Amino acid sequence: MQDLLLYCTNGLLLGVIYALSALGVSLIVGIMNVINFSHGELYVLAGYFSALFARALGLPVLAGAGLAVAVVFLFGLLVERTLIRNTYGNDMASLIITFVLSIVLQNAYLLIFGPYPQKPPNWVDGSTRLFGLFYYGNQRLAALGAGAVVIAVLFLVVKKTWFGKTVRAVAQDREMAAMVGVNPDGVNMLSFALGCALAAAAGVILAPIFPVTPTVSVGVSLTAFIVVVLGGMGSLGGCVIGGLILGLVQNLGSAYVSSGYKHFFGFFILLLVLTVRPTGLFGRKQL
Amino acid sequence: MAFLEVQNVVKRFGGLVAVAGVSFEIEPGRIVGLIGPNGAGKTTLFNLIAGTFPCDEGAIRFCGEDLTRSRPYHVCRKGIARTFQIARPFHEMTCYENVVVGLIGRDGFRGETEARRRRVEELLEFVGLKDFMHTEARHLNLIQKKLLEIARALATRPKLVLLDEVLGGLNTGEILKALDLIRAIRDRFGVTILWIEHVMGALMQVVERLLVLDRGRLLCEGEPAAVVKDPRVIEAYLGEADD
Repeated sequence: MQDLLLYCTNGLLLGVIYALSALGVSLIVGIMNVINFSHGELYVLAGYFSALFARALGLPVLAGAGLAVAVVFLFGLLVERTLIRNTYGNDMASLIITFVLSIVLQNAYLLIFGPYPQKPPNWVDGSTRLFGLFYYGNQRLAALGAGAVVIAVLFLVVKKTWFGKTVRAVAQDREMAAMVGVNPDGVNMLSFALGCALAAAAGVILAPIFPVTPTVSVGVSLTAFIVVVLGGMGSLGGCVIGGLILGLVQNLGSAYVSSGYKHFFGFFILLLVLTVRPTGLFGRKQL
Repeated sequence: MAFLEVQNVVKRFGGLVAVAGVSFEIEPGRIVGLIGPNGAGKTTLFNLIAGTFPCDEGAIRFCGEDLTRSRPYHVCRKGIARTFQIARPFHEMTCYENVVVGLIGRDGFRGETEARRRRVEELLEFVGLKDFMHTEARHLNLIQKKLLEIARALATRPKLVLLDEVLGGLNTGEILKALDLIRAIRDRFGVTILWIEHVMGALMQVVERLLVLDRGRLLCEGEPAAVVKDPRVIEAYLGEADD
């Protein structure tokens, strides 16, 4: 019983972070029809920045994390403007460009930050006794809370704000949105950067627990893609459900079957979804 | 300075010349009908004016500004709105949100929330959808979707509205209401209307001028009553008369 609750808590934490990261991919797919293969690299970039800002510049750790997300947001704006904008209408071109970008970034990280894992300082110390059964790291609890808060804020932005309404309009009918005066390029640029910032948010939240190296990005991207396919392309709610399912399945599977199969569980879910329900849990029909 | 000036515009799709050099002008405050047999190039002409695709030749000027190379959102912000033959509201959004997108598209994100809310309510009331304010557009019926599209178009504060077959699929009672609405759009908002329609009887009651397109060319234009008696128009619709 005690073990089960522990595994579930771990699964919940990872699930929330998976969801957060996948929301970034899903937002960009839903609005721009661009699959961002460099998603994981932006997660890693934010992890490095948050470590750098805290350790080298001596900023408070949360300020460093916030600044890292902001920097990645700006980087996202730049990438959209310089690399992605010219590829609109050609999904394959943007796919290849972001794939190339991911390789370039991985090697740049290797060159600049070296192959060794780096982490920012913990936000909080100590641990808390959960359910009166086991002790759980406070940093992990903080990560769980932070992830949930960022997801909630994103949903509020998309559902309630003026910006969110135009984003949804563009996602539903890009041509029509342009005809009522919405500048689709502007929405694309902001959405792409917002998607990158979500990867960055996942990165800064998880980096104190799982230090970043230049190549953890691959796992981050793949996990995000699995969650997006599981939840359904372009469905934000689906991302959250999909992320939680994957987090729980991976952790329970690792615990009760074998931790060697951790990635197997993800791909097994992916295969299952693609065979049984290719649109995902909440996917749009046409995809 | 003409209000809308279309000058010798040409649009080709591969070997097909959809619009083959059309020129006309429209004065402000009029309701102008655009008719022609199927495939005459009416909707293509709308697409050219709205900037959906660029003209191959010719120029389009609106209130003294050259819109020939403008993109759709730019054309909209200059004051040209349009509706579609098959209504295209944002289906997963409520009526309120649909109209809000039009307001934001035109004015940007800055603006007072309360004033915007009132404006949306006014527009939905004007088209008669106030009771459906928080209903998602996909639950609306055909005529309601068309009305919503009109409200959203008006939210962009247009000077000119391009209506593409608003009456298609409506019954007689609905057509009469729609005609009142179209007159009201012009009278209350001071909007000029260029209107493609196949329901001739209804069109003739409202329009003050008629343009006739046939095979990508402007066949004739003028007073509606005179235009429909023009032998060239009858020929275009019914084929050549045997004498």
